[in-house]
Amino acid sequence: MSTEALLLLKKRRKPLNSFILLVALVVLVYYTLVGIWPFLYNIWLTFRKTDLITEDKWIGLSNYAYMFTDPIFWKALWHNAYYLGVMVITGIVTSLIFAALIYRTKGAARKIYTALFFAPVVTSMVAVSLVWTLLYFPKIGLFAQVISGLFGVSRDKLVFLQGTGSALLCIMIMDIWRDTGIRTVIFLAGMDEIPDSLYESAHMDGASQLRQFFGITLPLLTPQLAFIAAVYSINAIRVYVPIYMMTGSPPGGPANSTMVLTLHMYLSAFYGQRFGYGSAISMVMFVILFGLVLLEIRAFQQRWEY
Amino acid sequence: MKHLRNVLLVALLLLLALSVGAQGKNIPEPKAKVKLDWWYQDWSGGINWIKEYIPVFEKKHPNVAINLIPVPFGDLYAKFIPSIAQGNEADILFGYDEWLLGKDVSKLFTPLTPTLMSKEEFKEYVYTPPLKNVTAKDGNIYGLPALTGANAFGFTYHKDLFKQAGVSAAAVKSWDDLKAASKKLTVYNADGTIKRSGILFTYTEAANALLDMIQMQGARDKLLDKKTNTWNFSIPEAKKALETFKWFVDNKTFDPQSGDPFQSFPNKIGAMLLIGPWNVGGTMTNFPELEVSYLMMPPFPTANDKLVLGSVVSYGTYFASKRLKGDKLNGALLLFKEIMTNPADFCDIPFYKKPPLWVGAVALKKYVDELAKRPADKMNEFAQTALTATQKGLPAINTLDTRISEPILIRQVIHPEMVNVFFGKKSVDDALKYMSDFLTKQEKQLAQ
Repeated sequence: MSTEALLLLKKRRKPLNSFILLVALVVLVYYTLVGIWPFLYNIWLTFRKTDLITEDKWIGLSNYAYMFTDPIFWKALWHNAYYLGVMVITGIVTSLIFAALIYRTKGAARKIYTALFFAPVVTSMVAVSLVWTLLYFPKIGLFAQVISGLFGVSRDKLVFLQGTGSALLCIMIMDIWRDTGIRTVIFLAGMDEIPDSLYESAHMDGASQLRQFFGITLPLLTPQLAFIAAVYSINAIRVYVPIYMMTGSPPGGPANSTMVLTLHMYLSAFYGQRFGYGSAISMVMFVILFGLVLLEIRAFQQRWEY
Repeated sequence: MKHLRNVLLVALLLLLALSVGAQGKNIPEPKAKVKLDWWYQDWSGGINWIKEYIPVFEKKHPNVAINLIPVPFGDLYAKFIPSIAQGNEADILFGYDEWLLGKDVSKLFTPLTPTLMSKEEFKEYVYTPPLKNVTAKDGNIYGLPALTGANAFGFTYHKDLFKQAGVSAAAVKSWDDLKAASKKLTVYNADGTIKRSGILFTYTEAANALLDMIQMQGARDKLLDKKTNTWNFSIPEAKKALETFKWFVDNKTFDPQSGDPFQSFPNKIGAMLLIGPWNVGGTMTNFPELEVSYLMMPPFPTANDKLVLGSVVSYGTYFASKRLKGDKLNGALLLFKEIMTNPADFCDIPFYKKPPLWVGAVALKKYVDELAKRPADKMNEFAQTALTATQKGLPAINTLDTRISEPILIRQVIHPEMVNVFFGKKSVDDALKYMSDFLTKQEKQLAQ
C-alpha cells in the first residue's frame, strides 16, 4: 500500500474513532446513571437509617446486624431456596418430558403443541396470578370442586393458598406451568441440533428409546440445561409478582409462609419506610445473584462437542 | 337611644368580623385558569365520590380545574414519601396520616396554618386527635384529615342472614353476645365442617382489635413501655384477648381458612366481618344485590368496660404539595377551604348514593355537628352509621405510640402469629412471646 493510501485511511479512521468514542461515552454515562450510581447509592443506604426525606442518620452495620437476627429474613431466604430447588428441578423435568413428546410429532401437530405450551408465556403474570387465585379459592374454587368431585377429598382440606404448608407450593405450581412453554421450546431447539446419525447408530446397536434419551439426548442438552438452570435460579431469587398478587393482604401470608426476599425488601423499605434495611436485604440478594451469575458464566465457558 | 344604637352597631361589626374570621383567611381566586393534579386512592367508591364532588367545586371556582389521578393503595403508599423526596408528587395528595408516623411534616407539605387559617380556627373545623400526625413541632398543621375507614370499629353483616338466624344486631352489646350470635349464624356441612362461618376476621383488623382489647383491659402501659421501647405481650390481658379470638376457631364459628374475607364475605361464606364501616359501602358498591349493615365493636371483656378503638388508626388526609406557589397554591387552598367550610357538599355524597360509596367516621367536626342536628326524615341508614361511628368511635380512639408502621406491626408480625395460633402451629404463649421479642427488637432499632 502506498504512503498516500495509508494517509487517506488514517484520515478516514479519525471521524469513525470519534464517533465510536461518542457512542461509548453516551453508553457509559447512561450505565453510570442507571446502573453504577444507584448501586453505589444503595450500598451507602445500607449504612443509614433513613426515610429519604425527613430522617437520615449513619448507623454503621446496624442494618446488617438486625437482618441476621430477623426471623422473617431467614424465613424468606429459606423460601427462596425452596422455590429455587422446586422450580429448577421440577421445571426442567416437566419441560424435558414435554419436549421429548413434542419432538416425536411432525408438521402441523408439532406447531400446534408448541403454540399451546407457549401460550401462557405471553400472558401477563398479573392476569395469570389473578385467575389462578380464583381457581385456588378454598371450598368453592374450581380446583376444590374438581379435586373433591374426582377423589372425594373433603373440600375443607383443600385450602390451597390459605394453608401455611400449601400456599408457596401452589404458587410454584402456577409459576412452573406458566413457563413450561419457554423451557420446552429451548429444549426442542436443542434436540433439533442433535444429529440424526447418532440416533440411527444407537438404533442399529439395539438401544431402546429410553436408553437413547438418557445416553444421547440428555448429555447433548447440557448447554440448554445449564442455561435454564441458571436463568430459573436467578428468577427464583427474584420472584415477586405471583407472590404479591396471589397472597393478597397481607402479602407473604398466611403467617409469612410465602414471604420471600424481594417482598421482605419491598415491605421493609416502602411500607416500613426503612430504606436502609431494605437496601441491606437487596445487597444480600445481590451477593446471591452474583454467585449464580458466576456459575452461569462458568457453565457457558465449557465446550460441548458432538 | 343613640348610645344603644352605637353599641348594637359595634356588636354587629364584631359579630361580622368574627364570622369572617371563622371562615379563615381570604384566599384569592386564581387570576388565570390552573389545573391541579390530585392523587387519590383507587377504590371505586372513593373515586366516584371525588368525581361527583369535583364539578361542585369547579362550579364555585371556575378558574380551578382538578385532574383526579387514581392510584392503587399499594402504589400510593410506596411512592408517597419517595415522590416528595424526588419532587415529582402531585399538587394535591390523598394519604393516611399513619404513614407520617414520627416524621417532620414541615419538610413534606405546604402548611395549612397559618396559610389557610389560624391553628385555633382550624381546630373548630377538624377534631383534634386526627391532627396529631399532621402537626409539626411548631404547632402548625400540614394536612386536612377528613375521614377514617375506622378499621376494626365493628362488623359488617348480612342483614338477611341475621334475620334467618334470628339474631338482632342491636342486641349484640358484648363479646359474649358476639360469641352467641356467631354460633347461631354458623352453618355446618353434614360432616360437621363449617359451610358458612358465623364470623370472619380480616387480616389487619383482627390484629388491630387484639391491641384494642388489650387496651380495653387497661394494659396500655404494660403493653408498650415507651421509656424502654419494650413491647410485652406476655401479660394476662394479651393472653385473654388472643384466647378470645381462638375461641371462635375452637368452637367452630370461624374458619380461618375460608379464603380472602373480601371475597368470602360477599359470597356469604361468612355472616359478619370484622372491619371498618367503609366496607358497607365497599361491599354494596361491588355487590349491589347485597344488603349489609354495620354493628359497632362491643367493649371488652364485658359490656360495662370502657371502649377503646384505633390502637392503630389511619385518617384519610389531604395534603398540598410544598412546591405549590401562586395561583396553583391558591387553587389548592380553596379546595381545602371548601371541604372544611361547606362539608355537607362533600360528605353527603357517599352516604346518600345508592348504593353508598363509603361509610365511616368523619373527622370534619362541622359536618358531624350538622349531621347530628339533621331531622330523622333526612337522615338515611348510612349517614346514621357514619354518625354513630364518629360519635362513639372517635372519642374511643387511643392510638399506641409506636414507631413501627402498621404494615410491619400488624401484617408482618401480629397477624401472622395470630394465624399460627388459629392453625394450631403455635401456643398462645409462644405467639405472644414472639410478638414481644420481635417488636421490641424493631422498636429499639427504630429508636436508635
